[in-house]
Order: sequence, then structure tokens, then C-alpha cells
Amino acid sequence: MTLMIVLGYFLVLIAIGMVAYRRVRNSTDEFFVAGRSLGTFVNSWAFIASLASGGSVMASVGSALALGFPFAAALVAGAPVGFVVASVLVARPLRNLGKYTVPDFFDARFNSPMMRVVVPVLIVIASSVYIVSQLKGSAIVAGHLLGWDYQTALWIAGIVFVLYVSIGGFLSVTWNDIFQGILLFSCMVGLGIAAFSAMGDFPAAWNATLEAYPALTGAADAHSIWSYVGAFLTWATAISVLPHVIMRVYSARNVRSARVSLNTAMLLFGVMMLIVAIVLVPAAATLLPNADITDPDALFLTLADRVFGPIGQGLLAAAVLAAIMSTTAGLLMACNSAIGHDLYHRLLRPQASQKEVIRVTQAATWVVGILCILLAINPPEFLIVLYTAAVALLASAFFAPMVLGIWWRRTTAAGAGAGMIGGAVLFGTAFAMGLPTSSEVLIALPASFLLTIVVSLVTSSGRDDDARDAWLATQETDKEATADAESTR
Amino acid sequence: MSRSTPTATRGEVGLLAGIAVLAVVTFTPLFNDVEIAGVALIAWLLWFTMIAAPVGGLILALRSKED
Repeated sequence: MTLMIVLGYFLVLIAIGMVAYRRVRNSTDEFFVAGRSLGTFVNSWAFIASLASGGSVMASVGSALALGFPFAAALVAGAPVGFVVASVLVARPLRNLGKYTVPDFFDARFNSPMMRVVVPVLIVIASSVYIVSQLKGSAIVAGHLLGWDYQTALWIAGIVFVLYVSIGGFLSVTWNDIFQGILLFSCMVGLGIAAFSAMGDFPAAWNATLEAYPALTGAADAHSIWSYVGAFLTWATAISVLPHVIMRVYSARNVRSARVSLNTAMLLFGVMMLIVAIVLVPAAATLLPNADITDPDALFLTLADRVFGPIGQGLLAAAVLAAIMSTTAGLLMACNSAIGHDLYHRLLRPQASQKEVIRVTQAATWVVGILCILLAINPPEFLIVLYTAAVALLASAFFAPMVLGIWWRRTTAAGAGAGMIGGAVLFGTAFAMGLPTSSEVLIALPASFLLTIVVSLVTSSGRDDDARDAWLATQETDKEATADAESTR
Repeated sequence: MSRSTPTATRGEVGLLAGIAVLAVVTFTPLFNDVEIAGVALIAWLLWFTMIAAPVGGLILALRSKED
């Protein structure tokens, strides 16, 4: 039964991709941002599916039991805050800009040849690491539920999502995300209810959990306090620069829709994470007395086996695969657009037709997808820590130049470039030094801000004024709307 | 002609300031030893922030008139 449900789910994904292909095959606007026509309902579910990933869903229960509630909370609470930060700091300016990708913003704001190369390259590197961690998750789920060995599961799940991204572009990713987001949220609520019922006496189960897993309670035991701050800050800042999130902002019908859907999605995501912490963790501790917390990624599925029947297990398997594949598909879309749109079209062949750009992007999807599948054959442990490092790299490099570029008119191309390179290099150096988990961003992010500001002040010669004014011109219409909103309060 | 930068509304500034204050309180070492229902206060505050921040953001977004 589980096999049938999961195979049926895969077929639905591919079918959606094929339907989307008919609309997107000749238009980059359709292929990269779904024609900028997505409404609030659509984008809300798509945002959930984009954020909820292998780490935040499948690894959530095991990570909490192994690393403690405070660290697990620091890892998941940063993202909802990050979406709010993004909705205030970047959603409006980027949607008004009306382009496709993160590099498009830097190009429009700074007109820097260096950034035209560095930004997409960093996106491809970080997104690939993120994709590898998600692929590991999809292979574990498929292997656990369907009895496939790790490599078979990895190739099948990998090929399915590469296929639907390459043929249907962002529209296919979005339609699949809606389906996947609703499926995921429903199954998490269903699992919460089933686990709560199976536990029986909840207060007794809660107390038994804390006794059996003393590491759950404390703040200072599992990690340094800097790890908690770093994990939270990483996600609170990274969301504003994550390429697959920003592409979704560009795809919104208007600014208000983008902002409402960002916040709605995170409210629903927060509810899911509370269900994990308050219900699923004690359920796993009490219903699985011999749980192996050295393999935290498998614990969630073992719990589902314990409380669900065959149909429930099949649906949950599809839901977890949905969480993983939707995030992976979004990241793959970010990678392929960085290659097809930002590197190929803008740098190598500006005269390329829309059809040619789409074909190159589709080819890039296959190349990146296959490479990531190969890298995922021997992946490291702890999904959630691995992909947190990948997003921390993006936050360290892009957050300060983007936020200052939007909100501080004196930011120069040299300043933003220095902050970008400095942030990325310092993050890499701190990561190599073996600092406490997730704390690298606490060095790299302030340094990136400092470099951007200092170098901007030193290089402020008026040379960048034209690029800045052209960028600010894209924001004029919005300013009138904001003033109007203010006057009504 | 030189153009001015975008501006945030008072509500947006207040929301970001509120999140920052909550984060500072959450990570202050003074509260490391405080527990509620056997779980460190830091975890409860983070869970609260995880819900309160999007609620605040949603209210602001729904009140805005931009389109």
C-alpha cells in the first residue's frame, strides 16, 4: 500500500510538470517566476513547502531528543522570524523591481561586473550543499518505507524531481508545492493527533520524557550558547537572501500578496513545529522506549510506523518526501536560474532568445541534479546542521549588502562587494576553524556589515549615483502607496 | 535628480524592534537556569517568538494598502 501511494505521488508530480511545460516552454517570465501571477493562497502553501525540508520535518524529533529542546527550538524558530524580516526589509523593494533572481537585485542596484559572477557562483555552491542534504533525506525516507536500498532510493527520488523541475520550471515547482504543502501540513496535524491519542496520559508522558532524556531540558549542555544564538540568527537573516524564497517573492501577484503569504506560511509552519516539540517528541520518547537517537533522521518515521496504519504510513511517506522534494526543487530552480539566466544569458550570450535560455536552464537542471545525486551517495550525518551551514554562507555573504543596498543610499558597489566577499571568506574561515556549531555567522555577519559600511564611506565618490538612482526609480510607485497607508493610521 | 531611499512604516519598525528585544531577552545568560514545565525558558521564548513574529507580520501585511 505504501509503495502504491508513493509511486502514485511521484506520477502526480511528473504529470504536473508536463502540464506546466505547455505554458512555460517559450517564456522566461513563465519559466522563472510563473508569469508573476501567483496569489496569496497559492504562495502561502508554496512558501511552506519551500521552507519545510528534510531537516525541519524528518530530523526534527530526533534532533530534539539528541540535542535538546533549546537547540532544536533555536534551529526552527529562526526561520519564521526570518520570513517576517524578509516581508519587512526585502519583499516590497524586490517585488517592485520585478525581476527573476537574487543576482538580478545586485545587478540592478550596483551594476558591478564582479557581482555578476560572484553572486550566482555562491548561490550554486550553497544551494548544491543544501540539495545534497535534502537528497539524503529523500533516500532515507524512500528506503525506510519502501524497503529500497539507499542508492536506489536516491536515484529514483532524485530523477523524479529533476524531471519535473526541468520540464515545467517554476510553474511546475509551484503547482507541486501547493499540493505538497497541503499534504505536508495535513499529515503533520494528523500525526500529531494520532500520536497524542496513542500516548494516553499526556502529563505523565511529558514527565517521563524529561526523565528519560535529561539533555532535552537544559540550555547549556548540548552546545555553547553561541550555537543557539548563531542558529537563530542564521535563519532570521538567511531567509531574506535565500534564492528560492526570493524567486517566490518575485512571482507574487503584488507586494501585499507577497507579504501576506510570507507571514501566513510561517504561522502555519510555526504550528507544525510546535506540534513536533509538544506532541511528537514526548510521543517518540514514550512510545519508542528503545529509540536509537544516534540516527536522529530515522526516528520520525519509526514513530509514524508505531501510530499510523498502512494508509497513514503511505500518506506520511509522501508528505515527508513532499517536504524534501519541494525544497530541493526550489533550490534546484535557484541553481538552474543562476546558471541559465544569470551566468549564461546575462554574461555569456545576452542576445540569446528566451527559448534558448530555457533550454540551457533545463540542461543545467540535469547537470546540477545528477552531480548532487552523486555527492549524496556518501553524505555526512545530521541533515539540519549541514544545510544550516549552507544557508549561513548565503546570509554571511548577501544579507548585509542587500539590506544596506536597499535601505542606505550611500552603499556603494565597492562597499557591497567588500561585504559580500568578506562575509563569505570569514564564514569559510570560521567554519574551517571548528568553532561551536552554527556560531560562524556571529563573526561573518557583523564583519560583512562593517565592511560594507566602511568601504562604502571610503569609496563614496558619486560614481555609483546613476545605478543607485535607477534602482530607486523602481521604488517610486511603492513610496506613494506606503505614504497612503501611513496616512490612514 | 537624486532620489530618496524607501522608508519603513512605524508598525514595521516596531515589529522588527520587538523581535530584536525578544531575541535579546531570550539569549540573555541571566535566564539560563529558569525552567517551565521542566524545559529551559530559552526554548519557551523561542517557540513564542516563532508564533508571535508571523502573527505580527501578518497583521501589518493585512493592514497595508499597497498593491
